[in-house]
Amino acid sequence: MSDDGLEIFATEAEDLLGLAEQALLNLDDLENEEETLEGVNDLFRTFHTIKGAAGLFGLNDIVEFTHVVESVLGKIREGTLKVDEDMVSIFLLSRDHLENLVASALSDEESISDELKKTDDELLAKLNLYLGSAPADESANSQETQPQQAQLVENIALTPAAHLNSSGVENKNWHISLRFGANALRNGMDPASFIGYLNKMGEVKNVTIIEDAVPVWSEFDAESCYLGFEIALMAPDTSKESLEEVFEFVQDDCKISILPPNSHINDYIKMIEELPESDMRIGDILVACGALTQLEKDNVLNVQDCLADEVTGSGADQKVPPLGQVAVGQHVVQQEVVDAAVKKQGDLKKQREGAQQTIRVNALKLESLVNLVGELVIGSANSELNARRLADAELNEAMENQVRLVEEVRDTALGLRMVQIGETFNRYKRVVREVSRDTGKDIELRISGAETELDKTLIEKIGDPLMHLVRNAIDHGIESPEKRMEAGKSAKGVVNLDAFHDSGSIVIQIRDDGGGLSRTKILNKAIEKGLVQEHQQMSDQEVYRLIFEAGFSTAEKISNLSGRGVGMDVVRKNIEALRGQVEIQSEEGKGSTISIRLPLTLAIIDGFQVRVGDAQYIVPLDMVDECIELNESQRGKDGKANYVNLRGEILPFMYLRDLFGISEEPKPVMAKQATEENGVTGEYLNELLTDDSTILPGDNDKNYRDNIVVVRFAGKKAGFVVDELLGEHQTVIKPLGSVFQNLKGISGATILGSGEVAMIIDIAEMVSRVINSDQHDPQSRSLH
Amino acid sequence: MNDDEQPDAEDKIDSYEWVLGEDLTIYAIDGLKQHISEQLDIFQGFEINMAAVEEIDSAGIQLLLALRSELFRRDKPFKISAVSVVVAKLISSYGLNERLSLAQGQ
Repeated sequence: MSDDGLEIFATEAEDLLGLAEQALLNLDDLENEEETLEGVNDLFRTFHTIKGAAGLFGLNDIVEFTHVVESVLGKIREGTLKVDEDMVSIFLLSRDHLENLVASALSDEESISDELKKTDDELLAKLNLYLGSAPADESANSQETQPQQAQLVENIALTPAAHLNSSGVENKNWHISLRFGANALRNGMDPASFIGYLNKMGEVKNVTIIEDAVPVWSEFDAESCYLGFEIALMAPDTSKESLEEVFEFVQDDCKISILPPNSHINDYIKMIEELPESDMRIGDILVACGALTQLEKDNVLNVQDCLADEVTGSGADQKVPPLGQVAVGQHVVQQEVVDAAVKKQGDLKKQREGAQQTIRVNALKLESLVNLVGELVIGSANSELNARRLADAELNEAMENQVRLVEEVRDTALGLRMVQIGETFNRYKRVVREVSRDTGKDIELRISGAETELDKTLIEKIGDPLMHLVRNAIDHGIESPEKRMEAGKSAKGVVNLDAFHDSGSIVIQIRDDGGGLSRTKILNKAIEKGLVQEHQQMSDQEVYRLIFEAGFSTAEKISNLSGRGVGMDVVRKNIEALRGQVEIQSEEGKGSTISIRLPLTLAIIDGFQVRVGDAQYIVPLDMVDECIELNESQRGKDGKANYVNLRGEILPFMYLRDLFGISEEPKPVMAKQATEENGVTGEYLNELLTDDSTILPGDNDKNYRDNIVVVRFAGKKAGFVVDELLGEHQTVIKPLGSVFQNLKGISGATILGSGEVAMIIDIAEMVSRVINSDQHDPQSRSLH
Repeated sequence: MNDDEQPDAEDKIDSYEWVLGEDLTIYAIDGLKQHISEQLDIFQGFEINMAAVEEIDSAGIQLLLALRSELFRRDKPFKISAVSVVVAKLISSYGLNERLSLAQGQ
């Protein structure tokens, strides 16, 4: 089968294994037998689907391993085995092993590695213990001959069960009727592979190809599939469920009917009714492939003729009633069965409609789209600037429309990459379960804000640091049940994972109700390591941040989870590499909260453009609270005041020219005039300029005015004095080259419409610098 | 005549022997259809030689069935002159020996 087909299998298998993991983790929490059985049934179906699909690709290692897993699950379904924690652990390991087997199948290796083989053997030995002396095959068969569950595979025609009426046809074979969708061949789904797999499940006695749908040569698209198949399969030990699973991968585009041996004649009537070919033609085909005898076929067709005659003979202008209704009328099929069929078909339609609302797209294509949109934004800014210079009213109006559309395209393109963080959070349930078992602690993971969306790239990169922090919270944070009881806490510890948006950032918090950080222990360790001086004065925050230093760990014993001091510094570096920040709050004896603050996206942001000297800068707009004018009375006597009274609130501020060491004098431009001259409408600027900041007439001895841009980050406010406010700017973030990577206060660069480069101000760093700097020493505020 | 050779003018009333290459799968199917389409109006009969075919899938089988129907519609003979083992196996497993006039064991 094609590589594309194998890729599709791997993707589907990945999804199914993800579901299996969740189902297994849920088994721990299920309290009643009914729910547990439902969970086990879900698992059984999931593993069975993987087995069936793997069989299609001849991936025998996966088939054989999954078969044993299935057998153990089958025993649980039978009620001969009870689920316990150890068993769930083995299933989880089996799931991981299958993930590795699928990865191995994607590689070019002909057989699995020795390491995989070893794991395979170990897990099989453990699983076989649950099967006792019964060979896996026998066990599998026993569960497969259980009464059939409700039909599992969508789009498989419902056929009234044969046992409703004892007069079945003579045919001892399964009859499978397939009509493949037009794209089956293009999607790598070759009917020959399915028939090959059926041959492994039993013996294919007859295949009849239906070529009625093949169009005339001039309209024949050789890559489309027009073929239908009527198949007789001798497989006495196979269940309908197993057969349905074989076709799971084509169920969306393929019409499938499966009739068990000795099915009732009504089942065949229903099947014939649903097939696209004429009844007579299908009748002949069924005879040809041995599904029906000639007599049975005649009976089937006679019944249909009689029904049609009865209706037309009544003189009423009405259609032939559906066969299902007639069968009920004749007491051949129970009304419930038909109702169930109608309901199922309705549900399936809804499901299919829902499924069509999502498609898989290669992440690289999305990345390429976002990059192109970035270029479009820059190009659009350039066009807008030139249009404004030409001062042509019609051109400007057209440009405004175009800019608006570009903004919508940008937002939509960026939205495509946004994914919910819940899936990442769910991964940690497994970690919590395993670490709890290893450490003998009883821990509950509570998740909130799982629906919060974040750029896919960020989610991928934050996964490992988060994992480390969660492990750390469990290993170091939560105390043993005994200690917790002594401290008057409940024996069960709680780790909370929360995500939420906050002023242009996303915040992820890992909160535990454990012992909290010990300031004394951290300080002692830091002194011992020479990281701080013995009598150095440090705030709690500064002390707590020491745990992110390389090689720092206060753990009294080293576990295999954490405590080696390797990792927390990497966690911090990884978060900072994403333009993120990490903060710790802790209360000894009560617990700790680690907050990770990340930008919403790494690609394009709404920026606010300012000028200082000859250079232009961008401030992320989400972080701008307002802009106010710095009037003379607020400058202080020496013109070096560093805070203003903002409606009763103290606002610390700094001159950006000091921070960036800009020496030339401010240019004589009025803020609003300047904005317009630079091609930025004053509309947005007016929104930002608050009542308190109404531009007053300038001094007699100064022909320019300073403005303070008030920004907010992590709940803290600060201001930056700039020469000029230039307004809103769509900012395509370009990373800084390696030479500038360590530059403080700058998080990236962007290209303006004029082609000039503007630096993007790192607000987190700047706010921290404004608040913590030596306020009387301008030199200490410089970033140079 | 192989896939690449064009018929001479004097061939127009003759039968065309289509000698297929190694690949009779969906990956080659469009090109094969295009090639044979160009010959349909020219020749009066067609012999398909699949002795060299190493890979065949259902798209290949479907092409043969569609060609057979088209030639039947045009009242032109269709004959399979030779098949490789893989082709014979798939045709047989699909129960098409009779429909494609292929003797068992051919």
